[in-house]
Amino acid sequence: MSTSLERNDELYRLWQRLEPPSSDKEVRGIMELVERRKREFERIIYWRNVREYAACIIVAVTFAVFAWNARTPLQQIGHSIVSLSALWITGFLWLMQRSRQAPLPESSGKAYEEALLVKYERQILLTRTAWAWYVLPLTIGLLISSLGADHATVLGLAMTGFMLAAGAGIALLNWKASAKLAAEKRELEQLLGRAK
Amino acid sequence: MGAERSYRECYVALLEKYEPALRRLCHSYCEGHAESEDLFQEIALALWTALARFRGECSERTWLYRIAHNIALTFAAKARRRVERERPVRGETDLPSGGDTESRVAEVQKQQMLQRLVRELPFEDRRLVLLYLEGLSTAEIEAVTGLTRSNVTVRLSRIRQKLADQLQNAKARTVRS
Repeated sequence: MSTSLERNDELYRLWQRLEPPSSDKEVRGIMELVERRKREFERIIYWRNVREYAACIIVAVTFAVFAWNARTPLQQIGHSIVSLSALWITGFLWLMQRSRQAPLPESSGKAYEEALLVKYERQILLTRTAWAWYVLPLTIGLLISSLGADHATVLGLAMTGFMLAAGAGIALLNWKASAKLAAEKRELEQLLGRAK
Repeated sequence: MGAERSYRECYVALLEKYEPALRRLCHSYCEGHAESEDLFQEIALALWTALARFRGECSERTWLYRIAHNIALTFAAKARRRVERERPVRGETDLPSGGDTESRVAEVQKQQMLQRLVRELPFEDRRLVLLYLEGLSTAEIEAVTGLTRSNVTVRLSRIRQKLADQLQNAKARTVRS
């Protein structure tokens, strides 16, 4: 079978004579735009990481102090669980980020498609199970410390309620993100003719 | 400082060289001007980042088309419901006028028809035919897509035939009307 391509057809001639769509921007302008977008993206990632690590340290230290000063053993256990949960969540996210292999756009089409699908599957799994690795450990710790309180105060109950509501909110946001990612993955599979 | 300037110059030279082809590619993946411009910027951004990793394992052209088509795939998956009707893309609706001959008008109409037909193809077929139309060899298309050479040839032959038939039919319909 011949594998050479003849280029004497009308399609090729028409395409080669096609004028590219015009643009308002010059190449140097595009480069400046690209540099700016890259800087903005890096800044967003940097501050997101700073926020995550700061939140982890604040929660871990605060609840460690609470555990140290707790009046009952149950409360001490609850506070310790919250403190350790904060460390676990940050450590887990750090590990996930480190082990992530983003699909490189300079890969061949087939390799990129596979890597992209794997990336979607991984992100969907992470967001879908966020309630288990993110929300649950914190919630369990908070509930135990509430049960262990020697007297329930209005402020203590309000704090527990707020933390539980925040946990439910985080789980819901992750579930929504998972649904969005699943829709994108389905679209990708349809584009590639792999839809089940 | 010098290395940074050299990186920028290298990038600008690359973009200037391939800008027309990249713009045609973006226009073949997107419905409207704004969306096409967005995709072009995404590709430009990916090129900027990937340039630091380019070690010359494949040709510059293969490397660039891999990035462009892969980014177009990601873009298409994310933008499925994004419909843009801001303004038509120049070159598709602007027909030659004034001193232009009738044959030039007819050719532009055929080019517009071809662009539309290419845009209506499934993603993989579109990628293959665009690489062919931009003048890449079978070996280069194989390197960009990751398909086998015989697969590229067979599929391209089928797609080209289909496009040629559709173009012919469209032309016949225009003449009749």
